Formats: sequence, C-alpha cells, structure tokens
Amino acid sequence: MLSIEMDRATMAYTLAAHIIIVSISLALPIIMVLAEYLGYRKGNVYFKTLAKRLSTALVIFFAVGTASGIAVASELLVLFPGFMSFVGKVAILPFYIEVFAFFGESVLLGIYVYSWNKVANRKVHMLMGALIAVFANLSGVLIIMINAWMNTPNGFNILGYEKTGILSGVNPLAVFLTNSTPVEELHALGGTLFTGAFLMTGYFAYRLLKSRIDLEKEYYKSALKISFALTFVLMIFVAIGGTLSMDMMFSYQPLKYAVMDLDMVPHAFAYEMLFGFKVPIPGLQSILATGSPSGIVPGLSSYPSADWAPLWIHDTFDAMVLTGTIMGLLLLAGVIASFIESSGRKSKSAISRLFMLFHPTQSRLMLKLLPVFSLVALFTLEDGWVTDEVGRQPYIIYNVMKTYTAANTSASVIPVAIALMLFYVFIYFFTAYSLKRIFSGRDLDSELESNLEKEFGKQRKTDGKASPGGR
Amino acid sequence: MLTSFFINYGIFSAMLTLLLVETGASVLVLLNYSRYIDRVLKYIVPIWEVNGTFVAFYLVNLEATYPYMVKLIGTVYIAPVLAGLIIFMAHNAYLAYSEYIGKEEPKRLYMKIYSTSMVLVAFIAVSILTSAVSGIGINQGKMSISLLTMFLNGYNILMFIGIVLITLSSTLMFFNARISNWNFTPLLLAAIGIIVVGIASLIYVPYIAADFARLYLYLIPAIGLLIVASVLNLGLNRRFTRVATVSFLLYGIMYFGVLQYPYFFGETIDAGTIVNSSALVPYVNWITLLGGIFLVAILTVFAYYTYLKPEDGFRTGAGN
Repeated sequence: MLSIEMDRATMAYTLAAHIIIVSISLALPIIMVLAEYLGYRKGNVYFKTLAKRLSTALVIFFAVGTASGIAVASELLVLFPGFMSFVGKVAILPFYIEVFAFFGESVLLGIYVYSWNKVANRKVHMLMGALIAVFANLSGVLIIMINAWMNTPNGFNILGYEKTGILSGVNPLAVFLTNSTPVEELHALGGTLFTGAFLMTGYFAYRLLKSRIDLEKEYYKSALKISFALTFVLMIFVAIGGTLSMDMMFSYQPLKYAVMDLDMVPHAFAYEMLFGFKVPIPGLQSILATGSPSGIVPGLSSYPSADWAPLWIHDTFDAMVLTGTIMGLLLLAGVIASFIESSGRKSKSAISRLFMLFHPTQSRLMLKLLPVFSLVALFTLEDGWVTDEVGRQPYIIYNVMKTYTAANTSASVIPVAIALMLFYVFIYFFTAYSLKRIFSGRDLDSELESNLEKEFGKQRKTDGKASPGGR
Repeated sequence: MLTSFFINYGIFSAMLTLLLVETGASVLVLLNYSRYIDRVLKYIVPIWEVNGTFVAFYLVNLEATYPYMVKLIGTVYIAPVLAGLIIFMAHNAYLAYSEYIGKEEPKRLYMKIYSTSMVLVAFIAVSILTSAVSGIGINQGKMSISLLTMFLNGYNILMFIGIVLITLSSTLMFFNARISNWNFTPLLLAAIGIIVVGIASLIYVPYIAADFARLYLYLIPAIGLLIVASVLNLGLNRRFTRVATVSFLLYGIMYFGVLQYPYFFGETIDAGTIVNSSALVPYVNWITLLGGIFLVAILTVFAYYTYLKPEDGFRTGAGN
C-alpha cells in the first residue's frame, strides 16, 4: 500500500536527517568540555575561546536536534502505532528514562551557556559541561537499547506470542540487556560519536587550511588537536564493535548475516564476498566467522525467501567496511605522524617523511583529506544505518512483528509526510546558512585578540601581587 | 488506574501550561516587538528547551500508560501531529537563529516567525485536547477524523477563544505587560475567557463530563485567576503573581482531566479498559517519581543560576 511505503519513507528520511544532527550533538559537548578543561588547566586562550564558541553552536544544534528528536518520537507514534503500542507494553523503559536524560541535557545546557559568567567556580561549570556530554550520550545509549531489542527481542514469551498473538511473561527490565545490546552500543554509539567528531575534525582542518591570520591558525590547530585525538580513539571502539557485531549476527541473526555476506547456501570453506565477487582466499569467511576454514556459515536457502532482506545490503555492508577501513588507516597514519613529530625524528627516513604527509595539523595534504573523509564518515554512518535497518526487513521487531503490520494505513499521511520531508531539507540548509552567518558576524580574530588581552591583563595583575608560586 | 490517569494528565497539563505561557509571550512579541522583546526573551531564552522536552515526556508517558490507545491516537491524529511537527521545528529553529544573529533586522523577522509558529502550535495542541475530551469529529470504528469538524466545531472554537483570552490575561500578569492604559484589562480578559470556557463546558456537557457535579470544580481555578487579576494593582510581589498565575493555569487544565475522568473521546472510551496493566506499570511509576525528583532538583539549580543570581553578565556567555 502506498500509505505504508510513505510511512517507511518518511521515517527513514527523518531518521537519516536526524542522525546527522545527533552525531554532531553527541560529539560536540565532549570536545567543548575538553577544550574548557584544557583552557583552564593550561591557561590557554585558544581552548577557552573554542569552548565558548562551541557552546553557541551546541545551542543551535540542540534546538534543531530537539525539534527533530520530537519529530522522530511523534512519527513513531503516528507512523508505526502498532510498533509503539507493542513497545509500550514490553520495552518502553529505555525511552522513558531517555526523557529524563534529555531533561538533564536541556536544563544543564541552559545553565552552562546562559550562566557562563555567573558560575564563579570553573570546576563547577566544567562539571555541568561534562554532565551535558554524559546526558547527551546516555540518551544515545538508551535509544540504541531499543534498536538492539528490535534486532534481538526479549522480555516476553516470544514463542507464545508467535503462536497465539497474546503477550505474556513480560519482563520490563530485559530490554536493557539483549543479546545484541553490548556490541550495538559499542558499534552504533561509537560510530555516531566517531562521525560527529570526524565532521568537526574536517571542519577545523578546512578552516585551518583557509586561515591566513596567525591567531586563527593557532586557534584551529588547537581545535584540530582535540577533535583528531577524539576521532582516533573512537575509531578503535567502532572497529572492535564492528567485528563483534558480525559475531553477534552469526549467532543470533543468521539470516541477516547470510544476506550481508551474500551466502546463498550454508557451507564450509566459505569465500569472503566483496561487492558480489569472491576474494580469492579459500575459507576466508569461514575463518573470520568461526575461526576455522571448515566452519559452516549460514545460507539464505535455509529461510523462506519472503523473509529475506533486499540483497543489495550486501553492497552497503561492504561499502561500510571498505570506507571504515580506509578512514582507520588514514587516522592511524596521522597518529603515527604525530608521534614521529613529537619524538623529533621527522626527516630521518623515507618512511618518516611519508608518514609526515599525514600529519593532522602540519600537512596541507592531510588538511585537504580530512574534510573529504569527514564526509566519507557521514556517508559510512548513513550507509551502516541503512544496512542495519534494511537488513532486519521485513521485520520491524526481528521474527516477531512485520513492518507492514506495525504501520499506519491512513491515507492522510501522504501529503503531510511530503510536506515534512520538504521542510526538513529547508531547515537543514537554513541551519547551515544561519550558523555561517552567525559565526561570520562574530569575528574570530577580534575575539581571540580581546580574550588574549584579558588573559594577559589578568596575568600582569596576578604577577604584580607577587604571590609565592606565581601562576 | 486513578494514579496512572492523573500522572499522565498531570504531565499533559504541565506541558500545555508551559506552551501556553510561551504562547502568551509570543503574542506580546507579535503585538509590540520593540516594547516587549527584552522582557520576553529574558523569560523564554533559558527555558524553551525544557518546554520542548516536556512534549517528548508526555508522548512517552502516553505510550507507556495507554499502549492500547496508541493505534487509535496515531491513526486519527496523524495529519495534525505531523503538521504540528513542521511548525514546531520552525519554532525551535527560528528562536535559536534569532538568539545569536547579531543584526536587528533578521532577528525581528525570525522572532516573528517563531511567535507565529508558537501560536499555531498552541492552536493545534488545544484542538487535539478538546477533540480528545469531546470526541467530536472522530469516527472510532473507521479510525478516522474529519479535520474540518475537529477544528471548526462549536466546542473547539469557544474553547480556543476562551483559552486565548485567559492566556492573554495570564501573560499580561506574568510579564507585567500592558496593552491598554486601563489597569483592569487583565481582569476583564480573564473574566470573559472564563465565562466563554464555562459556557462551552455547559453547552457540551454531555460530550465532556462524566459527572455533571464536577463542573463546579471549574470555579476553583476560575476564581483563583480572577482574584490574582483583581489584586494585581495592589503592588503584589512579582514573583508571587507569576507563581499564582501559572498555578491557576495549570489547575485550569487539570480540571479537564477531573471533568472527563475516567473517559476519553466524549465518554466513549473508558480509561480503565485501556490502561497498561502489564508488569511495566510499577517501573513506569517509579521512574516517574525518581525522574520527577531529579527534574525538580535540576530545575531548582537552573532557577538559582538563571533568575536568582545577580544579573551581571547575564546572557554574555554565548552571545559575546
């Protein structure tokens, strides 16, 4: 039915747009509070200025993100009422707790930003910043719990429900720890944070590349150091999470595994498939999946074809792994270059010189690559999300509820859904435009000069008192 | 059942009260931007994110309390909810843009877009409330709604007019604002609004009240609000006036819950038959209690820093 397809398209579109804002909104407060901490620990004006400017951006992202989040919550209710009705009886608790995490984030953000100069104790202010990051990411953790439950449902008598359609044996706490929860948290939350951090890295790299004023260059270098380090650390979590995700799917979602690896029949000595082509290493997939070349991998032929997800998710899966691997190698090269530079051996060997091409703040090549790859990170996030969600089809709750039975069949969805989608396009472009306009109206160079003047003035004043330890 | 019903209605009332105060502020911006913008922003800017979060709070509580009704609500209200979402996104976005845009001209335009969208959101919210109370325009069998009937029935129109007048009166009291030189304008507006809502309730009593005697409960918030409006010129403490105004608005909305309990949609659905009875309920109640305590605690810290600490440096954090 057209209305059901419209429900799916609207939800997919909204979520695809929402996760862009979410990824930035999760990573941004971490970078902001790290900048504030480093700023006050080291008395570094660049970090302090960065923290303050990022708080402005965070309010705008939060404003659009809140509205977009409420849109997602409301759409779940109106587009998939069958699903939300079921969740309401079995697995609503993470959603409910998430509301309070959301409250914590919004209230503390209000204090953090609007009372910047009222909170005299900087440690208290930083604590509020840290709590904003904690609550923002706690929201992410809780939402992913629901997604993990959709992939590997628990907390009720599943067999009984499948046979009779009657819900029984409800355990409301089970949703917090399903078979896929730990790995999904690692991979999905890690991936979302990674993308947000990478987008900011790309932005700072681009601005550093374009800066002609020394003060601004130092500012963007400082920003890039934080965001690059964070991106690299997150990349490690994403990679581990990704590997564990495949193990989890092999055990608990064998059909989804078979679609992703394009295994038509269960077999041993399975080749790894890359975009539909065999990688010529016999048994590679079996080794990766089971640890042994003779390990048997699941195949599509074991399941009715009506339950198969579209086979093109094999390609989206491979694209995710490929781009993820390339990004990982790029970031690793950047970290090695930073170590070489800090150890003072930068021009001693050809390999050192090669790695220095990827230094995150000193190499112009890397400053050009980072913005490009930040967009690749965004593509990978969206691609990974499509792989996960489409890979579960035709089920909205794996093996329990099919998507079409959960959807709203009202025809009135069509015009409003189209309007909503068009509005999303408008609001995202306008947000980008507004951010550009707001920041171009606030001259960074003058702001830095003014802050430096304040800092040095303060320093002279303190030195004048000749305190025993000085500063 | 009683607890779940009133927890859910309490959250709804808190959400609608916050939205109505913000709507009142938006009306002031539309009436006289230059005169009221500073006063209004001082209230709205630190709190509007919290107002939005209440919408999410209510939605999730609704899903947890009445999962059996989710399908009906989702199907019937799909068009107004999605339309409301579009407007709500504009509301949030334009307020955030206007907050940081330095130049006066786009700021004025953005604030007017924000204010207009706030009024529209309030109109949709009030229409959904009156529709859920009266059931007018809804065909439960077909799970459909006539939007024309929902928005343009006598009950909704009278209620909307009454609520607008009461909200405007409360806004004048809350923000210490004037739209005429006469000192008793808030009292007059409140009185007319209260009478209009009262008439609507009397005319449509078969649709909305489970027990006719409960109509008298309307007198509590009505008289309370009239007293605050009457003694406004006696030099009362501003904070007291604000708290009293908001409290009576909240009680006023809660009154509709008391009036219709235990029914929805014009006495056609008994809440007792659709309330969640799964093992989830005790957990939901505990989370509501603990979350409520947490919310009060952080809002107290928020109020201390935002409203009680000296004004020096106020709003210098992000904007400069």
